[in-house]
Amino acid sequence: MKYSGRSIKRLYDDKFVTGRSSYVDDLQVSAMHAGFVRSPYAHAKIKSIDTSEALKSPGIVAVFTYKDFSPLLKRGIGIWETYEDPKQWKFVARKALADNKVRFVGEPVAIVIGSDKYSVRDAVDKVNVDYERLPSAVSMEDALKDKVIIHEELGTNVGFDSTFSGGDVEGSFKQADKIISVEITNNRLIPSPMEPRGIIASYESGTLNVWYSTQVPHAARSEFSKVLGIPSSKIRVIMPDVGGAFGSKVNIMPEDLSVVLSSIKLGRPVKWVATRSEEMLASEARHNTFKGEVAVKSDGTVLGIKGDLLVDLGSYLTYTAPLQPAIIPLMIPSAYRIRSASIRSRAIYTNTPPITMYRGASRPEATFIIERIMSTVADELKLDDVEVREKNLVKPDEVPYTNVFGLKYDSGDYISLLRSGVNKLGYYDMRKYAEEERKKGRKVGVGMAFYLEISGFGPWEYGEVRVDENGDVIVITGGTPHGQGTETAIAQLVSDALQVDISRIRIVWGDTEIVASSMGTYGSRTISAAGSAAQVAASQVLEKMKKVAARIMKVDVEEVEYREGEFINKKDERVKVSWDDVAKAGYTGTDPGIYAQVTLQGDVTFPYGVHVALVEVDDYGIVRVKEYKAYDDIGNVINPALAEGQIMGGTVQAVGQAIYEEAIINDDGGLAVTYADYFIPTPVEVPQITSFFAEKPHVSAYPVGSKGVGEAALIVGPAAIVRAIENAVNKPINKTPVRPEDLI
Amino acid sequence: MYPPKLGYVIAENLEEATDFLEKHEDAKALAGGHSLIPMLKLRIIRPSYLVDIRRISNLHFISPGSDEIRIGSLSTHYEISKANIPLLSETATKIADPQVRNMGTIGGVISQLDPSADYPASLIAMDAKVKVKGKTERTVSFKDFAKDMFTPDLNPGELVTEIIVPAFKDYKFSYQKLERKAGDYAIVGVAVLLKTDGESIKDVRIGLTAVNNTAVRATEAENMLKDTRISEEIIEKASAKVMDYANPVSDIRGSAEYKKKVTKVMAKRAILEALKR
Repeated sequence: MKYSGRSIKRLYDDKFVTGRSSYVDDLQVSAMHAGFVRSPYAHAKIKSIDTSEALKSPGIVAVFTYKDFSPLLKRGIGIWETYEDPKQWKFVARKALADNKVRFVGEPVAIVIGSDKYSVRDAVDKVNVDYERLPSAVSMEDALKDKVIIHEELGTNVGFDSTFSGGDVEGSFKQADKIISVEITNNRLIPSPMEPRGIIASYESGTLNVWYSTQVPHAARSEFSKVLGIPSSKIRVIMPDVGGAFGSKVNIMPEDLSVVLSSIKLGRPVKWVATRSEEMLASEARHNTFKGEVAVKSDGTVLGIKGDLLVDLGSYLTYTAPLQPAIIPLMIPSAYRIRSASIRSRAIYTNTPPITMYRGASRPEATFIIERIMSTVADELKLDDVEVREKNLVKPDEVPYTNVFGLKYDSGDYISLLRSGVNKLGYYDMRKYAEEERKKGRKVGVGMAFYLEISGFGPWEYGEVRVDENGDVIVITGGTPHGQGTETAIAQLVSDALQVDISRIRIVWGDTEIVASSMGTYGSRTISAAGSAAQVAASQVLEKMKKVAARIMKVDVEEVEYREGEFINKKDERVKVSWDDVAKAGYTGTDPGIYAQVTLQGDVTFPYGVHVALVEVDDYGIVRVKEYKAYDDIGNVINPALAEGQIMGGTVQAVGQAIYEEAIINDDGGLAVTYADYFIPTPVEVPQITSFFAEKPHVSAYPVGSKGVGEAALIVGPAAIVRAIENAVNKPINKTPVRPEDLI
Repeated sequence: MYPPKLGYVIAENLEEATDFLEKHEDAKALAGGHSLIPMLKLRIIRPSYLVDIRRISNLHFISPGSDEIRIGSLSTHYEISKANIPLLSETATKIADPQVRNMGTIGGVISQLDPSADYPASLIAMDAKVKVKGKTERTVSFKDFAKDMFTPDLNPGELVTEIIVPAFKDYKFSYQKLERKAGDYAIVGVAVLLKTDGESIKDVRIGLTAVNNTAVRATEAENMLKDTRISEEIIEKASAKVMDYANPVSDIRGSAEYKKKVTKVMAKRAILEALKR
């Protein structure tokens, strides 16, 4: 029985649905508790910090500031050099606590350590910080003027300035029948995982143990090592159950580092779990504007794009923020045959909470920009949305295709997918229905959007398979699932490779002393990268077992065939030996042990699809997304239910981004929302969701042939929903979120 | 939640509660806690004591009479929603979410007087009275009780014990609330009570919440409708007049201009919905 391709129920869900999972906050470690003194100002000099009152407070053992930690630091927190090039950036590596200046409201200035959370919270109020307020630059427009400089060492607020060019842009604009201007904005979001971030650090006899709500235990270990000068071999990072991350927990926070440093200074375990308000400051996302021009022929052919992209960084460069300004321009051409483009991409420091990556990181931005461009072109030229896209899509015989900036798309038939998707989703019938309803006075609208995204992200992933003497299988994966359920899909792949029952397989991940090496779960890569590594390791294990079987049957290994739990002598099929017997024999005689470790290289891959939304806008400008439909080519689908779950989750967040969620920063630089008014969709706001996957998928080069689906719906959803709203109200919209007041 | 250090007192009866609150001016009464707890969490308030009044059973009743209905201040939104009180029961169904409706109390809402709270639109339209008890007992109109936002007419040591609303027999009614998403505060809430005789309107009361510091009645709009024949034109005109009573502030839920616009549309909807019943 083959497991791959079937909706196998998730293997380890019992503990989650019965409340028995253990997140960082549930771990019973006898630790001191940490709390942070935070800046009330967006920009101010720290003149002095008086900790004496706090230290007198009952239960308090220490208050540390920048001065206490700086001698222990080799450097600040860097960037994710696996994917990001420090040479392209102007940045100051962020230290554990604010040095002589604070640069955003909420920046940690001091850490208070005490015996319980209540004492700590009280003592936080007793630390007296004397500030001298400085003028601040809260908006990107203000920061660009460089009148207020956020990092003096840099001499400018522009952290990244790079122009991505290809083809003959001037020529294409000369040939154009029409030049269309666009301005497109994604406002700031907050990823909001259910579990806020948290960390417990324990330093004893030169060894550092860290329990960490992270998606990247190995990257965290490496960064802690570089920052602290402790060899990686003496640092262990353990990822307990993690209650969601959406990319935000790749980020390594100065708060995390402060907790680690406190444990080193005190020689005792120290713990910090962010409050919800702290979590809202810890990771914010998106916040970018594209202004540009598009050269088109009157038949809808897009000849060229030029423009300016501004990306907000917040006040510091985080571990993951460099991705966006560097990848958004590369992905703007999408699956369209746009042969000339010039995009200047700048990333700006502002006196606001720092930006991190969030589900899709760069592809939602790029997709919103290019799909707004395509829809605007359709409107300006009075053409059909699907027609304009079909006219511009790369043709199947051009794939593999290298886009104007040099990015190579691996496989796909974009035009066929668009046609069959539009057909399967009933797009034109939905449009007709909406039109009929509008005639009756209702504001119903239908919109579509196409996407091509980049996932997988190489450079390698780790997989290990062990078969024990009883024939049971442990798979150690470099993937770090934190809610997606990809561990089940990996088990399916290994079950198939070994032809053993899935109940005999256990998947283990997320501990740097168990997993030899790991990249982790992010960028829709886990099944492609980690699944493939596990599958290859499984096939190597099987080879080892064939050798053992050959030894038992006293034949050459070439004569052994493995079928459904039995090793068979090909020459005489009556002679065979069972899986369990081979496993037992594998631990006797010469060369005992049945393991295989694989570090499998990989590259980027490009899933794509078309999504359709149906919305209704009421007399008050309030939008309801009623239906959402997806048709995706994500390569081979290992577990359709898990894949569909990703489409559903992405859709809910797309609804949030399109019409509800907005992390408003007030004029003084403070985050102006709490969960009372940062509107995350509830079940009432979730549309009816339908998801299809291409029947004849185009596979990736990864051995399992999948491409990735973790981010798709949030990548394309906002564009589809905004297009549907335009259709309902017949009014152009070029930003997220759309507010009710924009529509009446 | 990590509130400032505070004491916790369980009051067995009303007298114990009011005595304690009078002696400790910075103590706060705890009923449903749905405004108090978030403020404690954010350390916006630092009470010396929380005086838990939830066990005071004689504040926990709803007694319908032929002329008026008396509602004990500890009645939850859920209980009110099931009590068949004209207008007020419907209003209670639209407050926040089931968890809040199960815990939150009407006495708590009007002692807090959040400008976006739902009940005040209905209470002002109904000419509700509020019974307050401290050393002595007094009854004030809700209109006078709601002095300003977050400012009830309560002296130290006083608690709201009862809300009294006229029975409004033979009245039609509707409470219409505009919200961005399920469970949110009102962008605007409009409460309408109507008495009709055939095709004409005999009496009408329109209360507004969330668009002023406190709830207001749109009296000029009421006068335009009173003793007129029902027509689309007069409803349109009256709804436009209701808008004049809205002085909203711009915030995350909408610009002032937007809120004024939707006040008119909501008023019209509330009047039409009431007429349908």
